[in-house]
Amino acid sequence: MATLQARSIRISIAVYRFLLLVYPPSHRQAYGPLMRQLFRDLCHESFTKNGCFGLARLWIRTLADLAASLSAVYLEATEEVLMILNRIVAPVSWGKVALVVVPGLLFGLSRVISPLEWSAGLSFLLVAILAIGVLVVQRRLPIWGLLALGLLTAWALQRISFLLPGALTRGLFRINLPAADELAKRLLVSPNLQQLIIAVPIWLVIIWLLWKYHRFWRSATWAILLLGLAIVGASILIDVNVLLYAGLVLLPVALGLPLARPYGSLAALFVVGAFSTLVLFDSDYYSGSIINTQPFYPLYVIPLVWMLVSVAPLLLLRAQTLRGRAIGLLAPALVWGTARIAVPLLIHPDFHPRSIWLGEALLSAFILFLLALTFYLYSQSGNPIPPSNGVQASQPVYNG
Amino acid sequence: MAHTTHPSPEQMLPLTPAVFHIQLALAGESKHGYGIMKTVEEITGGKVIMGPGTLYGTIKRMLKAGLIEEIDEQPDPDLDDERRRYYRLTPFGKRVLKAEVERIADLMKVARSKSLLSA
Repeated sequence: MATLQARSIRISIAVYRFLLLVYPPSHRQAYGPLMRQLFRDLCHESFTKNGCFGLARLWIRTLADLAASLSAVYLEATEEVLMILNRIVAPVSWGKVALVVVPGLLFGLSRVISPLEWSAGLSFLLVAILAIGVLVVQRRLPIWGLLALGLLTAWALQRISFLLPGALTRGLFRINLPAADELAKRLLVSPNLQQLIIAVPIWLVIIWLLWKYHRFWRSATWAILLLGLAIVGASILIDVNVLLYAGLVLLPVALGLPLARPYGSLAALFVVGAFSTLVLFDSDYYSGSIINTQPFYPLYVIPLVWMLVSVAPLLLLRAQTLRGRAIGLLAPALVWGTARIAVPLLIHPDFHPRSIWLGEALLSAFILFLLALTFYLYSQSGNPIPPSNGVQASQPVYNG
Repeated sequence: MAHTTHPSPEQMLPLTPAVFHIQLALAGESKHGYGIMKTVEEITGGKVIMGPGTLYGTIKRMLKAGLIEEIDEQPDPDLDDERRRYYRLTPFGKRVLKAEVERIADLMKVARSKSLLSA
């Protein structure tokens, strides 16, 4: 009898220990040993009083208790997580966040639903116009306008960059490169010409902004700008399209650097916006023809685009600490870079040649590196974030 | 000790049955989990039997609300397992319990006036 009791109790405790795994880890760590001990006491008591029948009754009661207490414990754990999240995010109004995130969400959908392409572009344009309006009236560029301005800047850069090769090679270097010339010719026919016409006022605004912030220009700005232009120039001379992109993505890093003085690491929003145009429109640079005809393409590309244009800006805007901002910027970019290679590699055999996936991997790594460099440079250039005790929400870092 | 601000006891009312029973069990002396469970069973005539999940889930919430506290010293270390944790009511917990008992007493008066209870 004693052996039966000991064995029954031992098995019961082992099973209960296993069942405790359904509780959240924090609750299990704090109360798991106490709950096990209590259950052990109850097992001894039940078996001593009523034998196996008593133990069976205890089990019925315990399982009902487990089911009843689980929902309460999980609800509490969720509340705790929400409280922690609330502590680490800055009190930026959701209205301002929406100005940044909503056009980004449209942008993601527009990659697959083509009629949305114009509405996405238009919403960014409206936000940029609104931001410039605020700048004119309040003499301060609002933070929520940086993403849209970055996006439009890069778009304008891209329009011009197609024209530049022809103009530069023919006019400046007196060289006639058929490929570059062809690009320039293509740009001068509708609808490219219309886009070029739209790009001109954007360029005027960019030049005005650069002039306005010129006192913040530093050697790093010049160095990155010249490096970018040199790479773009080299790409024209040796006619390598990838180099053109490598040069183009450096330019927004330089152009946004003066903005880092007043905005610190948050000015990275400008670069994220610019990369969204430069990289996402060509996000499947190598693999496009393979992937974009696949049935899974919308599921693959929409969340991926959102990583850069919505998730990263949202986290960047809401994070309260410098580390939080770094994670907010780089983690979505890392997810973006990894998924855009891993998903086609796992699903589609045509993606397997090394030249394809390695090219994509290098492009993703380059973008991630540039974002990290941007964050480092910008956080060094800007006003430091006021120290926070990590519990109370600190003062807003800027007047968004 | 860090100063903590509590809401007024009335703001905590009405207490859930589990919280009320644990507070009643702890009124007067500190107890460990098994002791609380047995006392609750005893004072309710076996009508309320708490399981480990409900008991420690409620204890966790009560600790957070400042109704009870864990004590370091054990009433009689020689007689007990030192791994057990003992709990007792905080002064705030006592005030909340008193307010809840008064609330129930008022309800009892109403019930008596309506002849729902014998005097």
